[in-house]
Amino acid sequence: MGRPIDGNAHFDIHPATGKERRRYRDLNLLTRLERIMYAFLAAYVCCLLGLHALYYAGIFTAMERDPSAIIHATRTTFVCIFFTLISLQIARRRPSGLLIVAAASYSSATFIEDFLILESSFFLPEHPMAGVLYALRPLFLLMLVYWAVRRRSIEAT
Amino acid sequence: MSAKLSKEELEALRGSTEAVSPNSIAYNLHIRSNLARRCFYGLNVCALAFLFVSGTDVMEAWLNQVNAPPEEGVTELKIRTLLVFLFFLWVNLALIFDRFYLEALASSLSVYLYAIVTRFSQFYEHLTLDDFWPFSIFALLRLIPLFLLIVLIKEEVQRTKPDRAD
Repeated sequence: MGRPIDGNAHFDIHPATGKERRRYRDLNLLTRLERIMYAFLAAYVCCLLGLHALYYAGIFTAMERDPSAIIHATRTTFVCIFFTLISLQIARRRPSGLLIVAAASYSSATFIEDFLILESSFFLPEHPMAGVLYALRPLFLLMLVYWAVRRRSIEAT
Repeated sequence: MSAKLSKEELEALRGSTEAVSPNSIAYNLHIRSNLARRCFYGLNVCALAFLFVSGTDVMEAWLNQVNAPPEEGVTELKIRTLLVFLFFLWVNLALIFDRFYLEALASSLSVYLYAIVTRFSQFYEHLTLDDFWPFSIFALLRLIPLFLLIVLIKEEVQRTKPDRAD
């Protein structure tokens, strides 16, 4: 009552009610499949960061400095930033689709550079966990890309 | 005054009344803001300039001038050219079909950030005071596409955000 009726009435944006706000936040909840994928991806990233930590521990005790240490440090920083930001957005029930897309692209780019240019870029290739992580990398990439597409399709609905 | 239209007038009328395809770059640029259009053109110019220049020896000469260390990883010229070409295609096709445009921009931004951070971190140990001006121009040239990408993402998020207030 009291709302002006004119040609632009259908463009009138009213403040969200509590119910609408809850519904909007519910859209950012993960589905069951997404939660499973998140658990797998998080486990993979934690193992990878563990390898990074072992590598840096080795650098501090080594006599010679590894020339590719800065590139590795850049990668560690990017992985940490993406993992933290995505987890924070999920915990806050905020949209995380674009971050997942960016993480998937970053992972694909590093995969391409490892495949085409860097032969021994993987951290501590002699470590037993490195072999498992290396074998699971294509699966990790596929799951990340699938999750990105699924998350974006949910958020854009 | 003759009621009959000339051939040119008929063609112009036909052209203006034809249905505009929503799967055209003109239509999809038209529905975006002026700033987004300019940034899109600017980004395409940067990408095309890079693709043309990467085929010449200009890049190597420039890197030698600033005493750049050997390229490695994502900063290797072949990989950079491949990635720029892929993202150039993806962004343009996404705009034409209005699908995955925001995703293309976000992906480009993340990979581009990774590339310039890797490049600058390689420079870090080799820089001297003499390299200040060449390096400043080098950094500025890399920051222009970054700035354009950020503006494009901001504009697209603004355009596609849901109407409901949060």
